[in-house]
Amino acid sequence: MIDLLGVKIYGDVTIGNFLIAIFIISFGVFLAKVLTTNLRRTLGDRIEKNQRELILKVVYYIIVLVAFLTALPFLGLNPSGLLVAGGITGIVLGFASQSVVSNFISGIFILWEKPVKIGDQISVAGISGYVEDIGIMSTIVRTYDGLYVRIPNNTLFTSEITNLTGNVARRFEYVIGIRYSDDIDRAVEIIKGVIEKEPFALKNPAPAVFVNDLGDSSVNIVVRIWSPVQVWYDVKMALLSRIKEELERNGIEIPFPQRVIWFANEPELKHGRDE
Amino acid sequence: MKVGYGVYPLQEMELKFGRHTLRIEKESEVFRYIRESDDGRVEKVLASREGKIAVNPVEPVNLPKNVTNYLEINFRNTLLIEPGHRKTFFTTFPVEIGVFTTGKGDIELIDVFSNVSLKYSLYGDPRNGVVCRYWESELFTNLPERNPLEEGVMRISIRNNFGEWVEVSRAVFNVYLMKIYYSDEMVFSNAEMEILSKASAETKFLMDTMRDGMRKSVEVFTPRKVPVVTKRFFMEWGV
Repeated sequence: MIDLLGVKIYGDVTIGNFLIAIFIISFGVFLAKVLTTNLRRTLGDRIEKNQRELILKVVYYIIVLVAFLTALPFLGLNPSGLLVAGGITGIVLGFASQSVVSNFISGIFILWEKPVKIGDQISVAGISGYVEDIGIMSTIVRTYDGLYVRIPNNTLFTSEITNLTGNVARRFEYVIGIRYSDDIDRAVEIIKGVIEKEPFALKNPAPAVFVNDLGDSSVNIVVRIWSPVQVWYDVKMALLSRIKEELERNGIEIPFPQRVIWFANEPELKHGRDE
Repeated sequence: MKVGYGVYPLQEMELKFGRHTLRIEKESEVFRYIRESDDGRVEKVLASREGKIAVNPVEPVNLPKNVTNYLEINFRNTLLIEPGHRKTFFTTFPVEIGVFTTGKGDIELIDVFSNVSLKYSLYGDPRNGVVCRYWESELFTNLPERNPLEEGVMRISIRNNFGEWVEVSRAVFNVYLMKIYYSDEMVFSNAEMEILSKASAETKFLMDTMRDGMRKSVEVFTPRKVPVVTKRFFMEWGV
């Protein structure tokens, strides 16, 4: 058995050295997992999920890197030698792993610049959804219809990112048409009343309700409301039907498209009774 | 006015809080918590053999759903304060009533409700500002009488540390570390506001109570849950 461990694989590296290197790396990965699991439990919800995951990733990769560097001498590689052994090998490896390195560097910049955080709702490269995880190489997005999408960090970093929840409040808008015969001031007053009753329709910036357009069939009232970003979609969905109900309760109706036709010579109407 | 704030043993009972009626019913081995109002009915089962129920005012940022931990009180009567001057005023704040159960282990929030209308606002800009629970109040020079089921009274000491006259029309607070005290007649909190410039100030809550005999509320936002909490809020988007 001892003789077997002493068998050289290449250079001065024996099977024993190789197994020690594997053990060190495995132990490093194991230690990193145990530590990050306990750290996640300890931190709990005391800090933001985004920051917590960043800390955990940094701790994990540092431990793995230390284990890897510790194991290198057993594999006959001198870490200090690696620094000067770049040259052609480095260039070749660089070209070969261009996309990997690109994603890695982009990942670091994303974590540093923080254009998105875990839990944010984003729209990027035609994909919209919740950011589930930001890794070193890729970012995971859960689309609104529940699909798992992995976006390489390079794509994310070089694309135009719309962070739908990046600000604390956002505005939404309705266009509500009323009949020409309806009282505009009364309609505006009713709409403002409904908005006032909604807790999450923000007081400031004040909601705007005004006639924007005299349409073909209706007087179009624009309603602009600011809401906290966490609840804006719920508010948007709930408020429109409440406005409609309240307008109708007060005799103000949303008209169907209509056209008034005037005849130059009014045709003689014939009724079956007259025929 | 006799109100139902307090700590009660977990047993069958009925309490009235304005338009809300709270009931605890015993059913075989469990208790049933029921709150009824014109908004609807809330029902929860409490699987506890013994314990207590605490009903008291809590930080007013929980309804209809917690989206912020800031409270903005907008003064209906704007204050003009001279340089170096300190003056104590009274203002009101909205009351939200929390129901907690205390048994073995931790205190757990069962329910929060309110008898006043709810409104939120944005202090600052959408990028860097904060969403706040919005409330309008007069600035009183004497202690106002208010229905403790609807409004609390806040003593606010305003000091102008700026070298010029400053117009003050609002105060924004971080409700972490908000201390609320209650009695049968009053819900009370104590705060101070230090004006730093024409557009900025610092606010913080103080721990003093108004009168002897007032009980301290069980809080929803406890420092235990948030280890790093600044005691002051820096109002940088206008006062």
